[in-house]
Amino acid sequence: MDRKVIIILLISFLLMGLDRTFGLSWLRLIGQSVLSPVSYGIYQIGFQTRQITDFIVSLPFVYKENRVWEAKVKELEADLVSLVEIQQENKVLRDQLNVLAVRDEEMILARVVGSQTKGDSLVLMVDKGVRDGVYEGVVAINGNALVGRVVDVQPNTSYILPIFAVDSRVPVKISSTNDQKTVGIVVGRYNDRVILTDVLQEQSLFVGDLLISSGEGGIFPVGYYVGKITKVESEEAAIFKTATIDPSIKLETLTSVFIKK
Amino acid sequence: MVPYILFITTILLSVAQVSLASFMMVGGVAVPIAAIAVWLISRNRRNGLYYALVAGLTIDLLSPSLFGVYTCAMVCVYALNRIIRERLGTHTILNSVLSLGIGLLGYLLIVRLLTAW
Repeated sequence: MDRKVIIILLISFLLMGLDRTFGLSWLRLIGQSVLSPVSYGIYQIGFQTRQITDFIVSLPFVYKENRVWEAKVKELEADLVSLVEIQQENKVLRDQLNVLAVRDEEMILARVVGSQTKGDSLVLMVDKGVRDGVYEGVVAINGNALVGRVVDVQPNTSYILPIFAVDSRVPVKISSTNDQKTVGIVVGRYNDRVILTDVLQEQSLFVGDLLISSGEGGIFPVGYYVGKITKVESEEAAIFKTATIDPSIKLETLTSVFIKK
Repeated sequence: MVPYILFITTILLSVAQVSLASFMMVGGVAVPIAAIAVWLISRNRRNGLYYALVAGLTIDLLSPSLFGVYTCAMVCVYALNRIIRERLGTHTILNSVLSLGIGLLGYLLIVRLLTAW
């Protein structure tokens, strides 16, 4: 093999060793201050292109869907009448259970500037880091949906491991029940599959059930939307049921996230 | 003039690989456009190693993994491409596809192994 190739390979291993021993965050800081804005610009171009492509592709279905939604809107208008009563009832329940209450937490708004491979998973790269008060282990959300947790922090950048990353585990419960117990664990699998596992056979699961984080384990806070059940798989001989999940977030649609301080 | 333009393109493609990873997923794997660019450049130019180095260092700057992982992977893409070209030649489409396939496979394996480290 070419001597230059061997020298560069040795240098790259030396850099890895130096990074592991001393940390080369200062070098990244310099590079990222130049490259992050470029990365954000390219991400925005990709995002807009994706939006336009999706819009064009979806046009043939839009008319059909519109008719369905019109009917749905009429149904919802009828439901709205009973909502006031439910809202009052909900307030009483929330006070009693202390779940899904209005949150008073300090958040940091971070822009998504890209994503990177880390082991088996893709991690989201955002433009806020230690200097903005982000630290490892904090949770990222988008609206009321759980995005993931920060797994690596640098001065101006941090990396979020999404909740559906391979082997990521989120204890969840079903949002429609008053039961506070965890019903199962949402686990990321290869090929973008997300499943609900460790559900006892006696637990009822239905397609369309919404899953929220149960807070068990202390990593993720309670009450954030995690996903919707799209398929339930149950075998009588098995101890646990499993279900396929449509996760609360899609990486390609995220432009910003809130990081909990 | 061409080398400068190619260097800037390589840097931009490397940043694009990071920025657009979530939009370009095939079977759960982000398409490594910078690695493909390095393969294309090293196929047509003698000093492809320097482009591999630039692409790797650029991605390393934006990576949460150990610094040097992507440099190592990119240089391996170049080296694999060169070895295959020297042994088999790149005159046929089959050889080109083979060298690209092996190069990308090597790249993905190295990245997966070293980023998990």
